[in-house]
Amino acid sequence: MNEAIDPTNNPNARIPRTPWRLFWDRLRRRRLALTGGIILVFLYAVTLLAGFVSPYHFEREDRERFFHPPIRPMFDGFRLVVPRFKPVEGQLAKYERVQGETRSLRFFVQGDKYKLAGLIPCQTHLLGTGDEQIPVYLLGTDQLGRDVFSRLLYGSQISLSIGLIGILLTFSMGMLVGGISGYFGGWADTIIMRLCELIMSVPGLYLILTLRSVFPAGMSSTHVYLLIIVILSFIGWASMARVIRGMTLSLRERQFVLAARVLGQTRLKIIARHILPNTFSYVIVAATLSVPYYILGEVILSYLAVGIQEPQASWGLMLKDAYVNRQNLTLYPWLLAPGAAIFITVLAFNFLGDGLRDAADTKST
Amino acid sequence: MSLLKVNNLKVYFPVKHGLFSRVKAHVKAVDGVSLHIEPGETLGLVGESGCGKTTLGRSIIRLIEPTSGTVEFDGEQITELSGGELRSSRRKFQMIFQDPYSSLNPRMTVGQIIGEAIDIHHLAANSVAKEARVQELLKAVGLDPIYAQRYPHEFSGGQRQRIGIARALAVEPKLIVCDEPVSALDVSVQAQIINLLKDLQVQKGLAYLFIAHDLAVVEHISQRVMVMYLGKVVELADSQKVCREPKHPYSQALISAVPVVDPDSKRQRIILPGDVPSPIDPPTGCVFHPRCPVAEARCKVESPALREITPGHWAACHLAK
Amino acid sequence: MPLLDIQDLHLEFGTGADAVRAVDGLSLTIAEGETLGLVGESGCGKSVTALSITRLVPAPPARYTSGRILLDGKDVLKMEQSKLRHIRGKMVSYIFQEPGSSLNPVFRVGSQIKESLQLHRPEMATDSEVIRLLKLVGIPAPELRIKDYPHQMSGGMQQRIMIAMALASEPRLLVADEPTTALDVTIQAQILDLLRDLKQRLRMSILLITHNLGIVGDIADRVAVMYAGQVVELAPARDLLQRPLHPYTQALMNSVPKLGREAGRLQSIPGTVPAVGAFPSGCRFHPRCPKAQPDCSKKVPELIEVEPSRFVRCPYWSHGKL
Repeated sequence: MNEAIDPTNNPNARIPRTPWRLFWDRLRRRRLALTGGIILVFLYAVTLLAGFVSPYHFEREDRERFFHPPIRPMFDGFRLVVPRFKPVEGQLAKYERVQGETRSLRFFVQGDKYKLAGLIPCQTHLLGTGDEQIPVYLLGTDQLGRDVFSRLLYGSQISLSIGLIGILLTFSMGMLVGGISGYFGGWADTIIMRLCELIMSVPGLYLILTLRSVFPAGMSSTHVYLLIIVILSFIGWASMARVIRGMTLSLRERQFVLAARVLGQTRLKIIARHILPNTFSYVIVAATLSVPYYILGEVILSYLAVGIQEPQASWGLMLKDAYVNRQNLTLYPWLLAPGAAIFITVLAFNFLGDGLRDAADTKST
Repeated sequence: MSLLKVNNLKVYFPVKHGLFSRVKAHVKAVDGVSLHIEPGETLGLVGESGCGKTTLGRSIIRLIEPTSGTVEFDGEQITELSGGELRSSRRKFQMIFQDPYSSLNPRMTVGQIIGEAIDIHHLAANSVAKEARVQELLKAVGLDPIYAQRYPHEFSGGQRQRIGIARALAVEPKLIVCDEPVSALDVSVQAQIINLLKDLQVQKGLAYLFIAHDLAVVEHISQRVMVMYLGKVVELADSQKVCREPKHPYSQALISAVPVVDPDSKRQRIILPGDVPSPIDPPTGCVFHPRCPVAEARCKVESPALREITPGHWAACHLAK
Repeated sequence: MPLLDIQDLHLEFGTGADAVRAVDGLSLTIAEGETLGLVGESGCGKSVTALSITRLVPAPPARYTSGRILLDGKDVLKMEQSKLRHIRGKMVSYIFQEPGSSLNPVFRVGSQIKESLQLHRPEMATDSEVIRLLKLVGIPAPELRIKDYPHQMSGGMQQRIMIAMALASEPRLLVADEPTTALDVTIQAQILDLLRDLKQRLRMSILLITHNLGIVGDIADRVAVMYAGQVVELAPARDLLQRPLHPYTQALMNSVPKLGREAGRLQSIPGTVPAVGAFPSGCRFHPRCPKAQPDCSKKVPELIEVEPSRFVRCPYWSHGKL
């Protein structure tokens, strides 16, 4: 009877390797994907601690120094110091260095009040000069004299979280609807799929604008933020549902699903235990690759002035302010910093997504 | 009393065409099949692809809804059960699948796969009892109990097939429908699984409906054999009778086409012309007549009934003696 | 000189410590007009051996570490790419297991055969030659069928088309890799009948790869049995099937039920087929071998000629009873 028990000499074979573990082993070998992942972990960590990392509050306006170019700390002996700049008399947004006057750059300085991670009241900042007359604007200031670097970090809270929350919403809805549609079939399937096609057939941008115009213009930033997520998810779930439905259709005919039916398993449990878990590797890849669309979606909405409102900061809004006219861009190129941030984030997501896709392909090594 | 009685079972699939999905025709996958299986017996079911053997196996346990006909299992009308009743009745009849690579959920451990069956029918009082039962089942199919922690991808095809058998056994069924259980396995492993199925049958008094295209395997494991062609039964008898003195010309051709290892075999080879016709538009009269080497004029018009040629030997052929 | 002479072929996948040896010291010959059956289970290396004949195994990851493949006296492993193209499909043609996936679904079968003709015998690329080929492989009403698309044909018909395409170049060696595995028994009988007929009429050499010993008996002149990357037994087909000498061949034949024989218990082979890269030490079959001796796990046996033209890789070979 025991003819199939084969004594395995390989010690590694003793440790059961889960499918996730295999997935991770394959992912680990992809440098580019790991780089993307590390960049993203770093970005999201900084985002979570935006108030602490940024030297100033995003609403703080420095009336004397608008369109101030980036100020770079420099070494004076072994100290990092920040030079002092003063406006050039008679010229708009021109600044010159005041020789000899510097302040040392200090870490953990007290400054503007903020809430750490949105909860804990706090006023310690990672770095600063502690002197309002000698500020440190790492990426310069905007037209109102607000620190671009600080706004970039605060803005990332909106821009980066929109992607994550949006994906969560889209995918849970897409998986649920697609799973039901594919497994039950029949009329439910027909109606759901026609609805998906309807949503997908309307050009996305117009749909976004139409949906946005249904709501009043003067909403609070929080409301607008939620609204953007809902709008973007409303457009995104349809294509997700279609893909999940397709996968469900093929998984439904797999023999382990038949086996569960023969055992008398209920339909909802079959979907939850046997079908949806087998779409996960696809879903994770697709989610990673579509986060950038949500980030860019916010950018577009804010750029078209129907997104996040002043004085709140978001990457899209900051870019919109930068593009007031072309002259602004040549004179004050540092205002394009959010563009660079978007570029890095989108690229990191795509690297990670490509790597995940390769790792999810079990035929790859 | 028979364990399973199938009476005039028909499974027609609609063929839809066009924008409004009008039903244009029907695929007569199973066309009026009757059979019975006694407790502890193995009925072999052979035929080529498209003959409806898999559909028949699946419709008997209502994985596919039959179009008409009745299935009586252990005194219960399976065809009349509602969804909930059917789910609880499923304990009594199980299935083993062909493809050991797709029949186990890759995201569940072997313990979870077998445990699910136990959970559904509440066959273990607690998790300790469940674990003990899983281990017992793994031993019963010749696998080391420590394998319960592992995932399907770590096993070879034969080992996976054993896990699938353990899953089916978990609910203590009386009948197992075996759908080509060895055809996807390596030759040297097939005998292990065939022997295991035979051992389990003796130990647990199981009945099998054994579906396969390999006549030698079917003859080896079955007491009786049924040959299907285009959704119909063409021959039914004790397995040795079917394989040694087949009455239906199709069975004769099928048996002569099996490659034999013995180079001195003096068997005459009958090579059938053409292919199996489409079940959407089957030939008139006897469905086998276009390929039949002995067909007569009446075979084209008159559909032969399954009749008892010699005691216990049934064939659906006008000319069988 | 044999048409094909494979000498001591070693094929590895991967490099360094990760390298796994798929084919290990394989030697085979096929004479002009001869049919050699290559029998083995999954992972034994029979398919990569067949593809190696025209170097169709992608390299890397594959690496030929030693050995020669002489085709008509010329070493394929040292040949330039341009010469290889001349051999592939011209001197050596292939047919595979899945005829459905070997045919291009968007072209008519006639034009696919014609394309094959244009490539290798451009002067003969005519409809009448296509029809002649279709007739040769036994397709009824070929004048009508050349307009068909692959999906309009059954599996058996598709395999006939594949054979017609393979024959279009008038190859000297036809490699048939499990040509009937995907087909039904009665259709398998038709295709085997066709191959037997073609072998006699065209006098070409055939390398028939299969896992089914019964098929080999039907058509092959000589049989090589492979296990875990090595040939374990090589003999004239008749002798091998009547008196297998290697324990693996014997066990394999005893483990398959035979039609019309008394139904005793099958003699199963314990364990599983070793995967590529996990071949056991010593004799590769020793963990599953009923006749294994203590030294089988250490000493690698050689393929030795134990009787005229009968080769066995086992020092404990015997005349098994069947």
